[in-house]
Amino acid sequence: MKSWAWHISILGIVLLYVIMLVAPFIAPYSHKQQFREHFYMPPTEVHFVDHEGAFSWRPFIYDYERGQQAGSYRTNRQKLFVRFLVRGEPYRWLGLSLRTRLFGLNETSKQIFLLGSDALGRDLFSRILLGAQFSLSVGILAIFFASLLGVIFGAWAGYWAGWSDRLIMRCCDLLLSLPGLFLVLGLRAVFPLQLSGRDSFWMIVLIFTVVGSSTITRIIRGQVLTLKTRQYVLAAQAAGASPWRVLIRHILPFTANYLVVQCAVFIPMFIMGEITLSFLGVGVQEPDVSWGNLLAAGNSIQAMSDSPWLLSPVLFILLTAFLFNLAGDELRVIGKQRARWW
Amino acid sequence: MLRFTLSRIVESIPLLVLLSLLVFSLFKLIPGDYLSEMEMDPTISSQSVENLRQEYGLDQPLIKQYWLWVTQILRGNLGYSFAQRRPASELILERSMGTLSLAVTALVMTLVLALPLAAISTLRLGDWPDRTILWSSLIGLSLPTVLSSLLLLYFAYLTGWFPIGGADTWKHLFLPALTLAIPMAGFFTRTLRLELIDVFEKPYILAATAKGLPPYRVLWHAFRNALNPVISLTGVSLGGLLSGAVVVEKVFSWPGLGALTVDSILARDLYVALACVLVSALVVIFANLLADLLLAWNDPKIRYE
Repeated sequence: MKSWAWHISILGIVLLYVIMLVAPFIAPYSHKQQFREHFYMPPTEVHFVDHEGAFSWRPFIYDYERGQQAGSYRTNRQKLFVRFLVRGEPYRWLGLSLRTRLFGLNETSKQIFLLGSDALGRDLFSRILLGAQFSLSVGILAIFFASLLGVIFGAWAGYWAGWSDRLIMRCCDLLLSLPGLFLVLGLRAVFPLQLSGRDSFWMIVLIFTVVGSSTITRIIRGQVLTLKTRQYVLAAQAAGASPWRVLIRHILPFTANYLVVQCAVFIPMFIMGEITLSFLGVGVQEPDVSWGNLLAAGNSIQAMSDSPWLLSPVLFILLTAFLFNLAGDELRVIGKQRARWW
Repeated sequence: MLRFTLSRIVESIPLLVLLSLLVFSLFKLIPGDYLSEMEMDPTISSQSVENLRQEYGLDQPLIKQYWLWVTQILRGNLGYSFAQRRPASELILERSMGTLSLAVTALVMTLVLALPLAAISTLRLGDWPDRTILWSSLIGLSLPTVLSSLLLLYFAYLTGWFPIGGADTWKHLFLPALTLAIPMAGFFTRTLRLELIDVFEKPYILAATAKGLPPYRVLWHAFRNALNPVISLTGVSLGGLLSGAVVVEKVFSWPGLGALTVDSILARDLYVALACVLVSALVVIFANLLADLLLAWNDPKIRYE
């Protein structure tokens, strides 16, 4: 029995990842492109009805020019129509070099800033979309590696009890007893402060792999400990199956349920962890973009009073957190029902 | 009780040893050492840097360096902050006080929020107050600290009721502590609610109700048995509390241990950063030990397990 919450959350998450995949196509500009003329520009209003009440199917924006003060803009009556599938700046996608973007303006001197622009005149909407690529994929990769490590160590510790079991468990205890963010910061400290986008990506994946694998190791070990006393496992052992075969064929498949629930818990945690790290200034650094360093730009009273649109990443992060939590909650319920049903 | 206490303390020794090994290996993973910066200074000869290395034992084998480091830690020497030009222990002690006041206030707020909410929820089980509390506690629980602290900062800016940044009066303390209390209150409310529901099914509650006690008196009876989890919950959530404090301290510029850690990493004052990690871990380990002892003291059943 799957509820509406399950369908909505899974649909939402899939949609998020699809948008993340095609982000360069949807984003009208690249995350680095600066329009220095148009810094701190408020979100552009998109209209269908003009000031005389005439309706047009094609959305348009009003032309704007800079005001007297820095960062102030006024619009005039001239319409600039939004074009779809326009030729924009080239970008790379899945190894292809493309120029077609979902929407944009024909005029190259004017820009459309759906969510406003930042201090350097970069389009916030594009930056949020491209930042999603970083923020959302970190969680998936880290959970993959953490599960891999967790299953290997957990199976080892659970199946071959002894001093290695005790050592592995003590190490897990240690990692679990440290306050999470301090552990992350401690691991972060040994890497150089300035890293390129790619290096910081793998660094963050590595850090969260270490952090996450301890819990997964524990859970898998517990499962293996109970499963290895089952009669069918004993039968397989008596029939002369090698430990590898017993583990892979007869024990590990039955830990999958718990692993999936754990992944549902960890993915949002890793995503938020990356956002937190970048927010604190020790994760992804400018000009590379993640939701965390976008948030950091909005973290000042100046930004809140003069350009509150810089806080718009909050909405995207809230949505992501909500969807993942909903899915996690439902998974737990389903897992329990499944367990009872067995 | 004494036996239990001693065995619990002995049990935590391997953990402490592993912790010291972890932090020491992190120290050693940092490229260079304490004196590498001096080598780059043209006014200091390389010979005097070598002499300093010998004096501080940095030319010794790793085992010996580890032993030196541990003995210094046990004497309360956590190293030296090159960015702030003062002993790290002094700095960390000062900032720990900031985090401590934040954490204690947050804990008090959590209890003030969670105890009544859990009580209302149990008394109106399945009714709209219960459902509202369940949903809002889930939202509070799943709200990342980065977002809640930013939103509360925005709230402070919009209303102007609270000062922004700094650490002088209780008003400065209120919003950071509230940010930390929100997810904890959600967690406590949900756990306590389940615990209270369990207790409410016990015969002695039925007896109390049958005797004609008013609901709040019955609740009092129930609470005394449901309070045990509060102690263990506090121990469990302390790590999360400290983690959250890192973000909150940075957003509200509250001078605490977490802000110090991040600032030290940004200033490449890495020995201080790792010392902060060590101190935070020690605090959590000892707090959990204390929580275990408190539980055993409160509930003799645990002692004999």
